[in-house]
Amino acid sequence: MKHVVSVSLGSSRGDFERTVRIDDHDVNLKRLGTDGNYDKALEIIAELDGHVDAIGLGGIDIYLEVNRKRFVIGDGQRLANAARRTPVVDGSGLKNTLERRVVDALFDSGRVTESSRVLLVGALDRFGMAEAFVERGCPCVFGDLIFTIGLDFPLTRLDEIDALAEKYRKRLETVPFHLLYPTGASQDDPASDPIYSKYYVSADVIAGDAHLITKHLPTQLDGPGIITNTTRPHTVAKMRDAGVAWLATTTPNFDGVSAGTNLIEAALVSIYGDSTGEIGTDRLREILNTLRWTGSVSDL
Amino acid sequence: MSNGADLHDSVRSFADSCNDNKQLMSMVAGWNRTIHVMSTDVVCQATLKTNAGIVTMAPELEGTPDLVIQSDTEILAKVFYGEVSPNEPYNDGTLRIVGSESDIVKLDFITAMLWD
Repeated sequence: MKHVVSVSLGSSRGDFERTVRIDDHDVNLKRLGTDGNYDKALEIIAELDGHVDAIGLGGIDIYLEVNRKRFVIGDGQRLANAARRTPVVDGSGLKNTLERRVVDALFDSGRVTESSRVLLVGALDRFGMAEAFVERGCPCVFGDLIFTIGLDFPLTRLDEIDALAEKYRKRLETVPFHLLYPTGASQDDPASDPIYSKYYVSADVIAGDAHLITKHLPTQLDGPGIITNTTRPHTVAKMRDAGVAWLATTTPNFDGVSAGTNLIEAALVSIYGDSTGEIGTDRLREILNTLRWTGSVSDL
Repeated sequence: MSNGADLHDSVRSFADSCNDNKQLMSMVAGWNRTIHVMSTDVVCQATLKTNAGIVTMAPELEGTPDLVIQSDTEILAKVFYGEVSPNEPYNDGTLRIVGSESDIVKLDFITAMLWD
């Protein structure tokens, strides 16, 4: 039995534990939210180090991978460094591989077409998904400035995302991450606002981080689809009540829980990782082919 | 060693840099705020106002602030001239910013877009 733990800066309300079977391996998946307490996350990671097979970092990234470049997030890197023996991953590998496959599968099934208007709430941490939509010709709004900085300024091109990452590179190393992304209880606080609503109602497909999507979700929508992960029964109910027509979760669904990419990547590292815990992108693609993971879709 | 005139010059330079960057100003067009800048080592203050994508500077305190930025004159001048990132003195406690986190993020974004 492999044991992997996601240590998340998110709300402990989303904690769960499941034992699942992946490619003939039993893996115990556990998620521990620290309610935004960074020091507690550091402590837990240091305690788990050497006692579990892999650790995922939730509610924060170690890297942003944009246009084949890696941008270090200082707060994430410091958390990862708290473990010396156990590999620590943030899910960016899966975001760059699995999420592209999910978009492709949604096109193949006809759920998404080249005329689908896409709102991707954040493209900086999901550049792979952003590329997948753009390559298919979808008109896209990338909401990084809207949902992360709070500025009513939609980005629509990949080169704008690339330029934003370059401009913000140094700050990512030093800015307190909680300023950029909801952690702890603020993940659960609804913050519906007209600034955000107009982008939701103009979209056929809303994609990206579940906390950002649900935090600002208007109460009445005209049947869009949502592509995300880290869903729980109460977040799915909120989407259904808002009028969302279908939900695609990029990570496998285990009894109503779609785990974060960090936890699933940690599970894959525990099974397939080399001694350093690394799985390269090409190897990850091979593994995903073997597992035939293309996300799961349900009508709400 | 900086003095009050340096601080005013640096804040004015910051306002000019913002206004020269049309793309940045279109990004922050809806962010209308009053920012007080206060030196902790000499008696010197300034006000920055953002309104409809235009930044103005006054060499004294005006209006009710949404954000208050405090530090010694030298650090403030370096920050407003773009010689140091505000994150460094903010993280080590020598630069104090009072206001909502949401406004602090936007101000930080503006400085990153100007100088990084």
